[in-house]
Amino acid sequence: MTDDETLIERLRKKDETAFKDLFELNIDHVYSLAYGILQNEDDAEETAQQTFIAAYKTIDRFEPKAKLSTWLYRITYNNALNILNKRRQTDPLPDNENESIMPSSLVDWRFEPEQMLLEEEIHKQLEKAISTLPPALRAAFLLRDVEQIPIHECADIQNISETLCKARTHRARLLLRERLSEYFSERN
Amino acid sequence: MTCTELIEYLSQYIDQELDTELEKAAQEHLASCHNCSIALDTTKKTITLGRLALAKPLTGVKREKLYSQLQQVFAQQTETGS
Repeated sequence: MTDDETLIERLRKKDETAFKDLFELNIDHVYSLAYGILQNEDDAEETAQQTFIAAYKTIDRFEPKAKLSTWLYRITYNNALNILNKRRQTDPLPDNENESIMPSSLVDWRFEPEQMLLEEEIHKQLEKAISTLPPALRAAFLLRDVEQIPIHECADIQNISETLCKARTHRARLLLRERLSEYFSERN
Repeated sequence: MTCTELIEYLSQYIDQELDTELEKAAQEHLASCHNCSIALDTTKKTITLGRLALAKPLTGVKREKLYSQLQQVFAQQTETGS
């Protein structure tokens, strides 16, 4: 029996420690994805709460074809989008979603990421850059590159095809790169 | 391979998803194109920066408060049998 299967069985038996384990194993990922999409701490906490309540209520219906973590990511993603919709903050994808983006700012950043992150300003620029992306692109980047989830699971979480998932991730990477390059260009 | 094609394939190149022929063409282009080499290097750095800096764990009091709130919700639901 896998770790997931054991935990699911304990959750279904309402084992008191099982939800604690589910929470501890997943809260950071759930909160991080919610915050990344919503860009607001209160909304991210609300989303995380809704996600674990939904998991508690529906664990009997969970079909263990997917991983438990993937299922939680999917609930989180949907809850976060619902909050965006409610607050009329939906930011539809641009029509030219599949258009390639040619980088215009081509400066050498010179430093390695680990060195860059010693500077508080770089963290701010990164947060600022991701906040400018449409939510769907933010989600694609967060799932694929921050959470490092395989592409088929990213697509499953977002309920989109792998092709669209790859296209969104690619676009998100290039847009983020461009925003950060603008900062480095001004700094050099 | 042209610069436009290289940029189109950039993520697949980084993710090592290109077939052998396209990967070789990309490598040949990168060897002779300074701008595309910078685009590759800075895109890789963007991904690494995101991975290292954008994960946002829920820590401290907020984490404890959220778990406490969830325990209350679960306890109420157990009592009402819902």
